[in-house]
Amino acid sequence: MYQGGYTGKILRVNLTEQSYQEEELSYEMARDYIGGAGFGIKYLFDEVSAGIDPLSADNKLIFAPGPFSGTPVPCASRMAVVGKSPLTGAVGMALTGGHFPVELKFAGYDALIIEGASEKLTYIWIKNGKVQFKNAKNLAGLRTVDCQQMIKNQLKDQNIRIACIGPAGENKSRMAAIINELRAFGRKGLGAVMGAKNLKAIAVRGETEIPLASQEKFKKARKEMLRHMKASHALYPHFSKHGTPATVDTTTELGIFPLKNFSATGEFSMVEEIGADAHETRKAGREHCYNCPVGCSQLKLVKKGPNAGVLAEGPEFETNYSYGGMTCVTNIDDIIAADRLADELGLDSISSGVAISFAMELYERGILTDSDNDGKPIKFGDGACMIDLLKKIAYREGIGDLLADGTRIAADRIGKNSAKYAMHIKGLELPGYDIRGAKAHGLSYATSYTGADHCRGYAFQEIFGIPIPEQVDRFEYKGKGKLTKWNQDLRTATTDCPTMCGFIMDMALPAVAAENTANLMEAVTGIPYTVNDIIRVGERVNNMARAFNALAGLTVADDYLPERLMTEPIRDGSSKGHLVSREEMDYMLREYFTERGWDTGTGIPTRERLESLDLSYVADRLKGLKGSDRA
Amino acid sequence: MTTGESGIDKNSIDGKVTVIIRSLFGFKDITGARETSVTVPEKTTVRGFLDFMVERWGEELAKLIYHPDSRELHKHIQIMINGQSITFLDGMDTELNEGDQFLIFPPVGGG
Repeated sequence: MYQGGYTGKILRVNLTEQSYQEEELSYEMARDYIGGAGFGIKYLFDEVSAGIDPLSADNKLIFAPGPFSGTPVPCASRMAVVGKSPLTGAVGMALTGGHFPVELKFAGYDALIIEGASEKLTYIWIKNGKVQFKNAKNLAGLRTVDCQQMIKNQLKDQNIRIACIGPAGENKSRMAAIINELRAFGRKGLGAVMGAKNLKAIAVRGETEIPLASQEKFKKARKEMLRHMKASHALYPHFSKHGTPATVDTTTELGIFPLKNFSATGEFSMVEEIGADAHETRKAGREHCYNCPVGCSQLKLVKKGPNAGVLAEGPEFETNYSYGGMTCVTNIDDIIAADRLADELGLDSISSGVAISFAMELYERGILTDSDNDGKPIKFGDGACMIDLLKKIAYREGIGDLLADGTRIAADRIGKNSAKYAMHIKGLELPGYDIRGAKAHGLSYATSYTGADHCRGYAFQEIFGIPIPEQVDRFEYKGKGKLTKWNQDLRTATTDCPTMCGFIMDMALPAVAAENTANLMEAVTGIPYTVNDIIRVGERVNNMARAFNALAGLTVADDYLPERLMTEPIRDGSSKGHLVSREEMDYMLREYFTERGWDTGTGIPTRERLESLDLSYVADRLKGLKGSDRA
Repeated sequence: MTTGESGIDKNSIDGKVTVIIRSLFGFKDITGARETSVTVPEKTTVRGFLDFMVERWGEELAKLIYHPDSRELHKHIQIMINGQSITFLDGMDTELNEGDQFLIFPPVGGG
């Protein structure tokens, strides 16, 4: 049995019946799935029929921190939420940081499973093993920051931690996020699932102590982790001070900072306006997640103009991409204001920015006109228009109602060949790297179980030149199938399941991430792991997620990049002339499927591979799907 | 006429190829600009070019790029010419040509 790290209890809440029960966390579950995304995907696969409507009461939301959350392991206050995504129809998994993750552990739970749907708007209040269902009538329509404050006031405890939805979630925008503090379970629209369940918020508080299996082993493992962090040339010297916006500068130099809905990458620079130095002029402080010595989160304050006084925790690199590069809004204050607004409304800043840039391109091409937007233009570079559209999306007003369902569905409804300009994979809007100049990164977007997701197999080899496991030519397409599997399994096993910060792994521990995880797991939980055991957890979870997606009806056709990236080369800058042709995609996918041991034609996990991962029951569920029974 | 350790003629600043140095973060702080245009003799290699840069910007730059003992390039320093890592060109022996964009940066970021 595990001896530490876990509380040993899973909380299952049924909103339809307004009931709850505690279940025991089994040793096998802990050993084989670790926590976080692993727990979430296991419960989703086992308990949710893949064919359900994600916005029905049949969907579930599984919130799961990791075994290190709430222990003195640094950078481990992370939590995954998993459900079927209303944006993609695939597995939806998003992670957040801050303080909410550890508080659920302190409240006594390794995971929280939300089932059913409430008849009336509700919030749940979890404290030290007790659950109350609270009427949320007076929270209806509240933005997320006010909602969190109102709940703290009502419950007369300012130390409560809360995850909630804003107007976007209540109105079931498929781009809605779940917000805690000014942080987000940002992507895949799981805020809409909360909205569909009439669940406004989850409030938690607790005092449970999380035990360690071995103090001696723990001290050694933690010391080793901190040593790597201190030795990093990037982490403290740069990242801690500047945070993610510095990636605007790096990706611009590499010619892969996407501009104007991916139509003008490399053709001009926005570094002067929204790069690292520009952000320094708005800096107002830093924030740390619980027990994180790095504190990469940068507070930015608008000092002048119509948005003066607005403070944001961010904007992170991705938001500079989506509300800056993509929309061509060069006014950094508009981007800061939009970032804060997205948090308040409960919107994913990546997807919403890409949806707006999509609308801007359609307007420029005459596919959308003033009459589609209450008589107003939708022009690239117009910050006020962007902010206006964010509100319209959250409240489903006018053209916002169309965009609220995401770029893919909007393109289907608009027609007129607009799908050509819809920058998504599996319905999830593309993050901030032009993958025509970073092909493993692109293959990971294409094959991630969540859709175009930069966090499920970040190719740090290509973006930052980190030579682990080896130096990689970012323009080459051969060999990227193998690398992508390596990146995805490592990421899943060392960050998404134990719920560790991905930045730390990429910048300080890339060479020893699996070893670090194995050492910490043994010290914290007492469960012995080899490096191979750790990587196998990542592979197991990725296979299970792929199997769910196959059962949900996704096919290999969903593993391709948007047409623009396969047909239009980048026209200028350091990645000039590059694209990922359809032939290159075919090759990379075949190579990737081969590495994964999946059917090379359909990309379905084979029985042979699933059985090697102790997932024969998953293979049974796939029986009948073409390619699943290949030996 | 004087010749430095790099073999590059210090007085031949009006040599034959113009190279644009693009520097990020700590490098930019030293070179003073995101973009600096310099002129060096034809067939100057990356190795020679780095020595030229150290001669121009001094030990502060040397500390950033070289191991203090071996004067070997730190493994974490990225050098790209026209967007391509020198690892996939001729490494430190890559010769610079007219108009080349020479990018040097530490592995900073995350997104």
